[in-house]
Amino acid sequence: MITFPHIGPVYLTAALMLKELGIPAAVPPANTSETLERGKSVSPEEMCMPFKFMAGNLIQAYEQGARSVIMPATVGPCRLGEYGELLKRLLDEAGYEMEWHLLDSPGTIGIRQWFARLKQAGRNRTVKGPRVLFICIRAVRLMQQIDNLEAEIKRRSAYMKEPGSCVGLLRGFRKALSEQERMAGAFAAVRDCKRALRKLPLESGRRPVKILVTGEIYTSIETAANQGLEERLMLMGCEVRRPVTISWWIRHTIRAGLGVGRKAGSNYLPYSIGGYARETVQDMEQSGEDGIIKIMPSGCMPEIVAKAASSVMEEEHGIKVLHLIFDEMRGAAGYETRIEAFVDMLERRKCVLSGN
Amino acid sequence: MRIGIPRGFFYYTYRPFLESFFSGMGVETRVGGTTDEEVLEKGIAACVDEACLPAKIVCGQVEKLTESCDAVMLPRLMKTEFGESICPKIAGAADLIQGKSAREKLIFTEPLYLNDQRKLKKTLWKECRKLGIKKNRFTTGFLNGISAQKKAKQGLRDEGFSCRIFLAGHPYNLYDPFVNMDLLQKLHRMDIGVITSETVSREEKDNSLRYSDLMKQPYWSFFVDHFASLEILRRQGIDGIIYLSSFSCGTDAFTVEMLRKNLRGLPMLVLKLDEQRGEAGFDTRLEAFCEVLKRRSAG
Repeated sequence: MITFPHIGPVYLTAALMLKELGIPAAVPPANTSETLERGKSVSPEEMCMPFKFMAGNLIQAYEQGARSVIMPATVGPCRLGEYGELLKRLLDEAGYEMEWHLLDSPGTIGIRQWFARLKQAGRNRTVKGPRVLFICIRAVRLMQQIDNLEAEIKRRSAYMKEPGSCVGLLRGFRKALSEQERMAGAFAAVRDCKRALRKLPLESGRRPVKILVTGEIYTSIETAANQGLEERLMLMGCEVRRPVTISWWIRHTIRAGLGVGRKAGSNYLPYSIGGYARETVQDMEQSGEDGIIKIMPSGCMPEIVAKAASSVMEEEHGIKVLHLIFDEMRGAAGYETRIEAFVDMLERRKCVLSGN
Repeated sequence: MRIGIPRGFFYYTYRPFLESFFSGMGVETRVGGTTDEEVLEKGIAACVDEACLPAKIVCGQVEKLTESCDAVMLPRLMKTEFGESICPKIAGAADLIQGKSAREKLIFTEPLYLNDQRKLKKTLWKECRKLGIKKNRFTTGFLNGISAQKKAKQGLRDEGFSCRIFLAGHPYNLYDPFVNMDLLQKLHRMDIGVITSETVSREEKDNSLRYSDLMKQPYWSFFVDHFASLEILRRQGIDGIIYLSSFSCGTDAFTVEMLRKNLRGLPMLVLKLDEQRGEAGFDTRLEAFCEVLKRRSAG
């Protein structure tokens, strides 16, 4: 059986895709504190938090019977690219021996090599020929629809009559998706959820605080890593926008692989220095929201530089940024207090600026 | 016009190039003084809290140089001569500087790819032209710099000590006695010699990598240097490894762990440096490790 580490909602589509391709897959249980504990037990202390989560995922998947791993990677100064190398050694040593398929970004290893590796990873599939491509494209489309719908839910959440109604909808949606057996069912679940979203009663006259959530990709996407930051903001009645999603990442990676669609860098971080630090700073610069929450795992190298660039921006543009650094201590109260204080400040500021 | 060169990051590796490059062009330069408490204080105040000690020192050096120079050069090293990356913080060195006056004085902030000499020359010329340097002057300086860098003998290889260790770590930690609290002298006093990874030639490193069991070609310069050198140096006879690393160094978190998996019985000490500079704990660990080395070599 094949497995893959979690990153946000990817498992929803990836599991369905593998199933339709006829590749037996083991989806590791959702990220929890236990995952992190398992991961920590084999990881070196100073590796970043995503590494520990992923190690935990793979151990739990091994226990479900997985014997090979698809590991996405990069060849860039960020640590993600070397995760596979170290994970393999650590897991081998701990007795979890698996076969590894490293999927480096196609821009660096060449598209041909990339397909060869993908083919190797999926050699046990029962579906052959053009249908494979069809299924893959459908999976990407499903991912896009999920991302778009979730973004819509987060945007609308602030205008609901009951502030918590969207959070319930989002949770229900994810649960419904994870119970699907076929991709068609998943598309239907997306449609159902869209309909349900439209039916939720709105309240006119709300002027919610708008918040941009940006930062390191894993911590932004994986809710367990940021301790449900977005849900928390939604419950506080904020409108949340997060431009970094999996479908964004797919678009970005494919474009980079083909060498097209390069955007000019921002004034504050003009060159790509690894990870998605440049994109983070760009998002912050173009944001029209009332406030920005920038998140990263402790010790993330590219985001530290992004933090320096953003504090220059804060001074020059007067934007409001809350930096949250997540580590494996997972003390929720401290984060809660800081987020509440930040949102309170933004509300008051918005009130004063609008002349009330 | 006086150009300041901060004594930090890659100054220690590319010093021969920098010196002949600027003297060949006839530009007055001023190298930042040796790091001291004042520089560190300035750096801590000017830099992001989460950054590592070397980044803070560079920030401090830049802040100090802006007071006395017309411009400060802080190159953005994207790739080394061999096409490897170094670290996001070094690639974004110029972005780490937050002070307004310091930012305005920064020059040579275009990305440099040392593995492509033509591109490197073009980028450097673009910057030099802005400074009003003549083309022929620039060419002399550049060629002088390249040949000086090639000729320069780098690294440490001590002879005549009772024990010899592989001293691993980034050059800006190894060669800055303030940062490493006089580690080299302390080791010599305890009758221990050191070898560094620069003394292993590139061909040997490439060979050693070819026979390692890595899944993919590694892309960090420091990882390649240390991981590949370990095999070669083991054959040349070393008694142990000291890895000098800065606290929360992202690449070292990985490199140290990979070295540990390849020790095959060699003792290894990892020393972490941070701005607290607690010397007593540092010394105790060093002394204990040296005792281990001596006992092992005695019997």
